[in-house]
Amino acid sequence: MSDRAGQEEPAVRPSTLVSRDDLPGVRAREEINVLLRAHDPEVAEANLARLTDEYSPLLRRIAREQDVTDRDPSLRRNAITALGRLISVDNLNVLTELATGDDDELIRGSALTVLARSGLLLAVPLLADAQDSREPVEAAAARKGLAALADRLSPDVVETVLRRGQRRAAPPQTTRGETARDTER
Amino acid sequence: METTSSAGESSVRPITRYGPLDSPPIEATNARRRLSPGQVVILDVQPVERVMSGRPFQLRVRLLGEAAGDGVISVLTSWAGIPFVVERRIGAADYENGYADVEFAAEQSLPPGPATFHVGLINESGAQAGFTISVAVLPSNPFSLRLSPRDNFVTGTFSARAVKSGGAYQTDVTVTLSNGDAAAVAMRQDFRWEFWDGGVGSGTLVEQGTGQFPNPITVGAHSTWDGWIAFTSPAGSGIFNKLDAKEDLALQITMTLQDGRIVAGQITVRTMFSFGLDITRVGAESFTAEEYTDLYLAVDVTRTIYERRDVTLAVDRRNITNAQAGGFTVITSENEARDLFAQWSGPDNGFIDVFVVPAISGTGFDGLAGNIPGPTSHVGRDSGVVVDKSGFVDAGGVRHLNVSYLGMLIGHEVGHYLGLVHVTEAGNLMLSSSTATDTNLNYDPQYRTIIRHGWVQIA
Repeated sequence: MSDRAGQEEPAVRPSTLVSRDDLPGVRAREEINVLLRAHDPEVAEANLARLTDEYSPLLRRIAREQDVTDRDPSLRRNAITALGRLISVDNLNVLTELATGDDDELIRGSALTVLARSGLLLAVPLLADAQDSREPVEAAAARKGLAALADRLSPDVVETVLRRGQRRAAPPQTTRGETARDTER
Repeated sequence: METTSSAGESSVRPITRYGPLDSPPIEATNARRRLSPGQVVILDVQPVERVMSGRPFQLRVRLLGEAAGDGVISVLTSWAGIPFVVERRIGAADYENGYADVEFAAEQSLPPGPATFHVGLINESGAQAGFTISVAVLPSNPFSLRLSPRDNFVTGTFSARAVKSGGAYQTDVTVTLSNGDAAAVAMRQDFRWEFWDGGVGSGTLVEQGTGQFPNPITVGAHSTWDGWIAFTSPAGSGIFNKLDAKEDLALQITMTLQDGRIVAGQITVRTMFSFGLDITRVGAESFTAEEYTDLYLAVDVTRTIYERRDVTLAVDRRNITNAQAGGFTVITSENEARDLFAQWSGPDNGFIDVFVVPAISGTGFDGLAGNIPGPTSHVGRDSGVVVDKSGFVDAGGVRHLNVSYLGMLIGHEVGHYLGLVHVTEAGNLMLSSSTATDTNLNYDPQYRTIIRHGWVQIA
């Protein structure tokens, strides 16, 4: 049996690297990028625990980055998640700004989920507005967020705030079934 | 019974924007309008001059930044060998110029063939930008023929896949002619093919034949030409017998220039192990047409990652509607992901369920595999993997998926399902924080682990 017949063994070229010793901002961004790139739950939890308040300014910057065509899409979303665990006025302002005004419904949905997780009543009107969104992901995130808040704070507290807007905290239902074969091509 | 061949011509690609996943250039006026203080944007990356094999070259990175401060440009190069990095420091003068050139020295020169440059820029304010560009490195000698798997854009060392279908093996390859000369080269349309057991010229010749491309071939000055050849090896043919016995074969294609010179290229042909993926869009209507296209480009990336390690994959395209999916369109915990597996895993086709959801939110993770390894059934809370669709809105306001990242992410979670654990080996797919360029799988233990999973079979 031939082994990789006709093909060369992989060759090697030397790398040329720049020292980060006097570039602390670059170094910090590279470190935080690694912490925000978690694929699996057990790694994510450990990484989020390492993101303390000193990282907040950089997390706010990353959370607001747009035009992320050539960057990992998880960076913005995980920065939003991290900000939700570091409650401060500045962080909440950014989360509110993203939940209500970002161009991307996935970012709005992430911010809504995180605000709901914060357990703060200020999230209720934002979630109530968004549950009627025409964007299905944003609407689902808002409805789930309201239900989660109701679980956490008590349904009465959430319903009291919602009554003003005549809405209810009803989570979207899930069903059981068999997936369908795609007909789109 | 004998092997037969058919051949055709592929579309022409520009040599300085050569890859299917290359970044589009960004228009400076629009980018400036959206730029906030401290932000940076890479507008475009191009070689200063065409890249010739064995010679130093420069990449020009056109950039835009407002009060951006010092920073680092980092270029990860994917090519026929081990990926390597070239960096340079940048400062205010580079932003004033509007570009910075990254130098590849003689010892970093490349052989003929495709190369992809993943360009990253981080500055002291913490802002980041990225850009991907591929080029065809042209032969300095100055003409070459290269073989690669058909329909895969590949920069590394690859085998061609022989697929058994309807009692015959089908082997498809791409033929790339590269012209590094300032004059066009006219070729004869005919080609000669040889399959060898063992090295070409030193092993045993299994089968040989000739074929012809349908149209006259001229390879323009400093450019490339792509064609494809498909081989059908029926039962009883020499190639069928070798492949069916899991033997690797060496394929050589030889062509002739109109002036009589000969050019040839070789590639290994082998059967591969194979597994299947049920790619299920959760909340089908939440995927735009662009996202649907991007999803299956991403699955092609996943296939390329595994085929580089001689394991291929089949795909069944499936969906769950928004109404059916309900709250599963936004996964907010591991528990919900497992509910999704328990309620929607299937059909019972021996494929791994890959649920692609619009969003995994508020968790810090963007994927999850049911178990390591996952079960060989569609029952229970472990049967499947879930990934965030990795969507974003581009500068033009159009929704897209990050194809290379999502392809890696699916590969990573499927890797867990097939038994792979996290590693710390640089560039490996199974890094706990792998990014789009971390796509390597090693032979031992990763390949050897994958092929032992109960849903992995000889293709």
